[in-house]
Amino acid sequence: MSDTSNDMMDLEENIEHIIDDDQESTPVDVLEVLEKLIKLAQKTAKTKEDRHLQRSIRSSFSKKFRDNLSAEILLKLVLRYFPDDNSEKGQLVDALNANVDIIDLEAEPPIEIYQEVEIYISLLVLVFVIDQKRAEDAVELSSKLIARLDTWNNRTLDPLSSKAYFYYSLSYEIVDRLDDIRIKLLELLRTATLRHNHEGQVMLLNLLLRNYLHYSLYEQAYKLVRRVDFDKDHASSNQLSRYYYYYGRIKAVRLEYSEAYTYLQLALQKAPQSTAKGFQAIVNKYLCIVRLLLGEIPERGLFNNPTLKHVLQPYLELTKVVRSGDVSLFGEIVNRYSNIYTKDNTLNMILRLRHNVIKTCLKKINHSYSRISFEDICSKLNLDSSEDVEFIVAKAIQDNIIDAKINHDGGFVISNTSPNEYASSAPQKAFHERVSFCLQLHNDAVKAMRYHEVKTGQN
Amino acid sequence: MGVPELYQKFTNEFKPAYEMLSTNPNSPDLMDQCKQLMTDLRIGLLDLDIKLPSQYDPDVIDKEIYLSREILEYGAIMSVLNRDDKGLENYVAQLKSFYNDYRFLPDSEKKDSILGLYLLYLLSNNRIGEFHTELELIPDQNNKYVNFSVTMERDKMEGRYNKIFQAHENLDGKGLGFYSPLTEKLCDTVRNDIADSLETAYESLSIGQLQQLLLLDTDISLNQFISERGWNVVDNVIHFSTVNVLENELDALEIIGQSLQYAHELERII
Repeated sequence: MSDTSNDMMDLEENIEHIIDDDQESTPVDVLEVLEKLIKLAQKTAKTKEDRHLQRSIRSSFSKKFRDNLSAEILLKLVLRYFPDDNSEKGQLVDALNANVDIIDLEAEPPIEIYQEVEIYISLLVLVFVIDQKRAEDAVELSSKLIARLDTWNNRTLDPLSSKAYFYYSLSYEIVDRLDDIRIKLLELLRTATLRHNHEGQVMLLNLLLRNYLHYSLYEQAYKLVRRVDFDKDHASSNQLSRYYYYYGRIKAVRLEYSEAYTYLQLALQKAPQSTAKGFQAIVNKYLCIVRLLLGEIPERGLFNNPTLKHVLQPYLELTKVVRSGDVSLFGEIVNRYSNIYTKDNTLNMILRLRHNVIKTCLKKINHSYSRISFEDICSKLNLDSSEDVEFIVAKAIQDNIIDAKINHDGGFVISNTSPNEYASSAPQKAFHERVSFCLQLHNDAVKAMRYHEVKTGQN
Repeated sequence: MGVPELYQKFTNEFKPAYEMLSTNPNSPDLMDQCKQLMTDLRIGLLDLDIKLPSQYDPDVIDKEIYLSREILEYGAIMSVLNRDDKGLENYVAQLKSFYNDYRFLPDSEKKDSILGLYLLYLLSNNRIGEFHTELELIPDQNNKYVNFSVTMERDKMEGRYNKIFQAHENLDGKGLGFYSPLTEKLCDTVRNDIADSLETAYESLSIGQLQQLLLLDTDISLNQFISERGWNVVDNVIHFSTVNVLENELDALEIIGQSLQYAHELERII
């Protein structure tokens, strides 16, 4: 037992060493590390416990480690571990396109290969091909890999298979043929659910949602989310944050803004803080819009974040214009940045903000005047006719945006005096919200605590 | 009925009848005639063998797909004129599959108007969530039909009901004559919205002012509206009951529940 944990520590140190930018890592280092990982995979296969493999594969698929892979290293691995009668060996070797002269063929290839090892090496090759930007090859390879995985039903393969599904979807997304694999993903989800493959379920659900949202099929995405339960206990926080982001987006399009706001915030909390800048940027964009649609103004601090400042610039302009309540300026800003908004899929939601601009303006008028005539409101809002104004104000009163009464004959609006806030139960409600959030946080933290790996027999 | 016969029937019988109907929209005989023909055409459609998109060769487009798409489009317009909601949904669902899945077909001329029609239908039935999800699916919104529906939605959300009523009057000027049953429904929905806001925004209104605000032409419809809403008329003036009860009492049950929850959680910590 201590042997494995020692090995693991060494292994992780080695991986860190390779990822560390300062030192040049030789191919031999990388090969050594990979060999150790494969030994772990073999151990997993023998003992049927996936904890040996779990932690290490996570680090071996990180971007910096992948940069160090090369065709020669991978070819060596394939030749060393794949037996000759393996059906996949040939295509892996072809896919690698490596310089065969450099490799000196060593001893006889082994007689058999564990499933885990085969999938692990195939996955490394697939990732390598994707990194080389050979999209069509990646599509072919990934389809074959998925077909191969279909034939096996091995629980220890779950972490590897979920990574395989991810790269399968990624390779199709790069060539823009996502709708081809939708049916396959649904099939895989069914199989994963039947086999209680929790990791696979979670990953496939996220991939399907991504697929639907890519084509703006919000209705179908909503139906999927309603029917399939998302297993929060078995999901890593990355998957959880992705799920919350997709769910928040679906809710936002369906005009359920407060729920969307909660979910998008959760997504931001669960996301990794130091990496995944693109994800953080897009979630922040959606958060900004949903807050505006709810009628609140996002804080300045959101836009001052140095990494995201440049990306969020159009949205900062948007916030400023909504705050000022100027309808014509709003149209200008939307036109100016319409390309960016279309790329982010937010243009439709932003067009809904026109109503919010008018709301904000009405609120400001209501606060500043106790009595104001329709003509004055009309000129302030830059509207065409004052008949519209009456209806607009009536609707605003009904929506609880402003608190006032209309005097039809006189043609003016009278504001109501606001009642004493502390006499109502509003402070109690706000207090209760905060307290329950803190208690929930505490419970989550307690549940997430884990014991350290116990080192026994260390004398 | 084979494809040629169906085509004959469509071009020689239905189309002229429909042309006459568009010029005299209120004639019941023409309407019945068109309805009958449409039913026959639909039965004829069942005999056609429309295959899945993948089974068609993209270069050789059979006449039957064009024909069935056109018949369905006219069917959708007919169900709007007949105020047949379920029929409209059926037709549009089938048409959407033609627009989206059979991608090798060139776009139909009526596609934009049918999509705009469907959007307006969702809006007039107050299904705003579906309106927006459908809108997301339309990539190119720069045509007069979709623009019309989008403007209507915006006006309804902002509360510029005047514009909606005006648009209902001016439909023919924009070539959108067949939208009129839908805009009528929309005006009714809008009147309900106006009535809701009147209740909260005004303390009292006279009958004359009410008629002006609700834009109801006849006294009978006004009285009907008032009785439906359950307002009290006193001396030709309506007083809206203002619900101004300030919640000075604390909701004991809720506070008890919350306090118990806090105690339970705190006990767990300690």
